[in-house]
Amino acid sequence: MQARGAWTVPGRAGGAAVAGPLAAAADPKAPAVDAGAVQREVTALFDAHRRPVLRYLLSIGLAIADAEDVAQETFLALFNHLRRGRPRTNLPGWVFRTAHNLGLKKRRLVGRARAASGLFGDPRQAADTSLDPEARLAVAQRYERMCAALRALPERDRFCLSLRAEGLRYREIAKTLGISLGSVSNSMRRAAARLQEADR
Amino acid sequence: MLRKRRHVRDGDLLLLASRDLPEARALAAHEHLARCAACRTRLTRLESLITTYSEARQSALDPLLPPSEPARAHLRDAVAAASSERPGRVPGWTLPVVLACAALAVFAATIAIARHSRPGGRPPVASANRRDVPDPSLTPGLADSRTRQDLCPPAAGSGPARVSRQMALAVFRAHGIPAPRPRAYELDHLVPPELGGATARENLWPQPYKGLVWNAGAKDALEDRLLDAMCSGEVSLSAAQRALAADWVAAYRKYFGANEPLVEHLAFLKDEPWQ
Repeated sequence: MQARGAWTVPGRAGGAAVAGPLAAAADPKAPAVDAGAVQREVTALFDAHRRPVLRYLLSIGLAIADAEDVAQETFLALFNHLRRGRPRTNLPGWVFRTAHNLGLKKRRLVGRARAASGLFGDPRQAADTSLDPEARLAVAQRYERMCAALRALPERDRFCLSLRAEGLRYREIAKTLGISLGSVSNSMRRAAARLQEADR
Repeated sequence: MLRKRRHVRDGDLLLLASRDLPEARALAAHEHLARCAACRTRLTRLESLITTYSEARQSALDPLLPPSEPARAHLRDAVAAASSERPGRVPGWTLPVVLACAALAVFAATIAIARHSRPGGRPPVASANRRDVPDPSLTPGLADSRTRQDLCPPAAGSGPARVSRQMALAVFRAHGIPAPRPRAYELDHLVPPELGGATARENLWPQPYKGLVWNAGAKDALEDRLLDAMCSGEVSLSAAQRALAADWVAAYRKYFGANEPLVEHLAFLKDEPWQ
């Protein structure tokens, strides 16, 4: 086969820098000392992760107001964490880990009685009117059917599934819950089996 | 070597789908999946169960969430209060340095968030130690003189381009693998022959089956996608070639609109492993 000669890839010709935007990014080890910058960073992380974190907190059994408190506490802790120049690897993972721990603490404090109503959140309390009531009810019922199937599982299995549903990888879930990757995989296998039953 | 054919357990399939299965087991699982339709179906089924749950959960819970603006303002106040506990005035001469750091930090955060805004997002991998794309100094990519008219429509069943054993071993050696383990690599055409790629050392690299986040299955799927796009006139031949040569992972993300390889591509194997 006759080759026409190596065609050069843009940016690589003549030893030019191949650096994309990632290569130009800041040294992740550099401690952020400027409160204003950290503040903006925390706000950005808050915007990106508030909803997943709130959903997770509802699913571990907090009432909405308590979940909101814990989310606030979590992002304030994130601010302090960053301002002290602590490690910034995988900050979304850090956020979930902190929210999980603070969430369980809150749940112990307020007691199961108050938390119980929000075991998986109660979709019927929805304040949002973007869906018509019937559609909302259908969605709620489907979700409730799944939750009912999951209720028989150990709590850890539900934590794993919830974190996965909020987009964490299994490695991150293992770290968040302080368990091994094998345990996460077992939990997920049981949760998937339950979901399969509910889906039939 | 004959391997006992065992189905992949559900737990391992789940880990595989999130790219969390340890390498040795992932390799075995991939080999099995490439040949076992039942396991592939189970993999898809498991993933779709979790996706369905995740979607139902979002649509049920999201309407419950209070609006974000008051919470945002509240956080801003709390953060401002926490900042003023230790004002942290900086001496005048460090200000430019601090500002530069701050700008970079915000930039880094923006990237991190963009990467994490999809479910299952992964933190960026430093390009220096990436194994999913070849070293550009060894494998810059090379095209032959064929044009779009020569390549479209794709010839059916033309089979993979043969690479002589001598050339294969030379490529492995150049990439620092003096004694390649059989079936551990695909000797990949960075620009595939069906897209005008040349069978030459500049266009060949050992693509490991290990380190499976961006594996041969995903790249094969991308090659098929680009071939379709090129023949339908969606992209030019040279653009398709450049996309593969520059950074095929970035091209995959662009053309499939997915931050990570799609589950159905994990076991997509078009080309045979080198042995």
